[in-house]
Amino acid sequence: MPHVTDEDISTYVDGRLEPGRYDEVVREIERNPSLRHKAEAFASQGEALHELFDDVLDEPVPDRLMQVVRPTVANQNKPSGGFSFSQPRQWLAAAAVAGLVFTGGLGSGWMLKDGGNQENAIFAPLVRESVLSHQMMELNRPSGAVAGQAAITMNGDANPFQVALRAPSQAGSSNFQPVSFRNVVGSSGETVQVLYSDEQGEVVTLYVQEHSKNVGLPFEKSTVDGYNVVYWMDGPLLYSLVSQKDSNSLMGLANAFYASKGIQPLGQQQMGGQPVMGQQPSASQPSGLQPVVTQPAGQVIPTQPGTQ
Amino acid sequence: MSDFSEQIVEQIPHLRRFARGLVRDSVKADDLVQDALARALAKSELFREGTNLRAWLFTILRNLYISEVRRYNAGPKLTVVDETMTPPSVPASQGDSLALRELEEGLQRLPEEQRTTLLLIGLEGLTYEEAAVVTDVPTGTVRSRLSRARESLRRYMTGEGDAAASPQDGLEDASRN
Repeated sequence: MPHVTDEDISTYVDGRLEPGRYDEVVREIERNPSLRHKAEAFASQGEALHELFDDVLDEPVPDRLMQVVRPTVANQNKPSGGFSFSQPRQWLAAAAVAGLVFTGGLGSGWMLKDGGNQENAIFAPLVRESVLSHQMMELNRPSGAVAGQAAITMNGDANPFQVALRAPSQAGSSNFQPVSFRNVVGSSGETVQVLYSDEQGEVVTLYVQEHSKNVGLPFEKSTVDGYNVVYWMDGPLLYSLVSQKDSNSLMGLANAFYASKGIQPLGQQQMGGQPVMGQQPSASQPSGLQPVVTQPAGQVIPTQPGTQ
Repeated sequence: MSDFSEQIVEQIPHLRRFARGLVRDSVKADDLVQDALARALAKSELFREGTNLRAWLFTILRNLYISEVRRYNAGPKLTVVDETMTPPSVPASQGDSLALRELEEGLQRLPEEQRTTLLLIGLEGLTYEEAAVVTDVPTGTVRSRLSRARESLRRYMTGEGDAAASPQDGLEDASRN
C-alpha cells in the first residue's frame, strides 16, 4: 500500500500530482475515509479563504492608494471594474477543487470531463492556467492590434520551446486575427500565449505548453466559470483555446488552429494522434496557411500538415 | 498615465486582498499596499515586460511585510507571540460565520511563510512556480509549506489538538523571533 502524505493530498487538491502518483493517491483516497476527509478539508479551505477575503476586491480603492499611482489625477477612485475576480466561483482553483470534492466525486478528476486520470493530471493545470491567463490578457490587452500580419512568428527569446512557433494569421475562415503574444511561466514551465481578436472585439486565447509526453490526445471541451475551453495534445505540445464564444464555435476554431499547423515541433513532422471530436481536421484540407519547421540553423522548410 | 501605471492600478484590488490576508487590520494592510505601490513605481525599471506583474507586486509587498515584522520583532515587546496553534474552543461546524472567524484566527497563527504560501496559491491562484519566485524558495519548499499550512489549519478548525510547529518550522521561523 503506497504511503500518502499530507503533501500528496495537498498537491492532489491543486491538480498538480504527477500522473503516476496521481493514480496511487486517488486509489488511497477512495479507499481511506480519513484521507478523503482531509482532501475535502483542504479543498474547502480554498473556498473559505475566498469567502473571507473576496469582498476586498469589490471595495472602492482608497484615494490614498490611487494617488500613489495617479498623483496628478485626484479622486479617480473607482471600484475594480471590468473583469472581477471577486466572485468565489470565479476563482478557478478553489471552485474547481470544490467541484471535485463535493460534486464531482473524488477520483473522477476535476474540471475536465470524460478524460482518464492521466489526461486529467496533464490537462487540469493547463485548463486552469489558460483561463486565468485569458482573463489576465483581457485585462491587459494591448490597444493596438497587429492584425494584418501574415502571422506572428516567434523566434529567439520569444520562443521558449524547441519548436518553431508561428501562430496562424487567421483562424480558419473566421475573422480572428492575432493581436499579441507573450511568454509566461506555467505549471509545466514555459508557455506561449497568443491573443486573437475579431472585428467585434471578441477575444480568443491560444495557450501552448510543452509536455514531456509526446502523444496525441483528442479534443476535449470544458467550461470554466463561463469561459469555454477546448484543449488537446499534439506531439509534445499541449494546447488550450479559451473564449466566451459558444463551445461549438470554439470547437470550430480549434479545428482551424489544428488544421493550420501553425505550431510545429522542431525538426519533426506532425506527431501523435489526431483530435477526433467535432469537425475532425482533415489532412487533405489544411487551412491554406503554410506551416513552417525551423531548423536549428534557421532554415525554414514548409511541411505538409497531417503528415504522419 | 503610462501603461505600466495602468497595469498596476488593475492589480491594486488583488494587492489589497493579499495584504488583508497577511495583516488582519485593514488600515495596516492598506499601508502595506501603499508602500508596495510606491516601491514598485520607483523600481519599475526592474520589472521585465512579459513576466507576471501581479507576482512581481506580491514579491514587493511580501518583502515589505517581512521587513515590518522584523522591525517589530526587534523592538521592545511586552508579550511573546506563541506560534503554536491552540484549537478553538467551539468546533467549526456550528456555523459558517464562526468557521470563517476561526479560519481567520487560524490563518494569523500560521508561521508567516506558511500563511504567505497558502494565500498566494489558495487565494490568489498563483502556481507553485510563481509562489516559489515570490517567496524566493524552491518549488518543493512551496509544496511542503502549503501542505503544512493546510494541515495545521485543518487541525485547528476541527479542534483535533494543537498543531505545534514542526522542528523544520522552528528553523524557518527563527528569523521571525
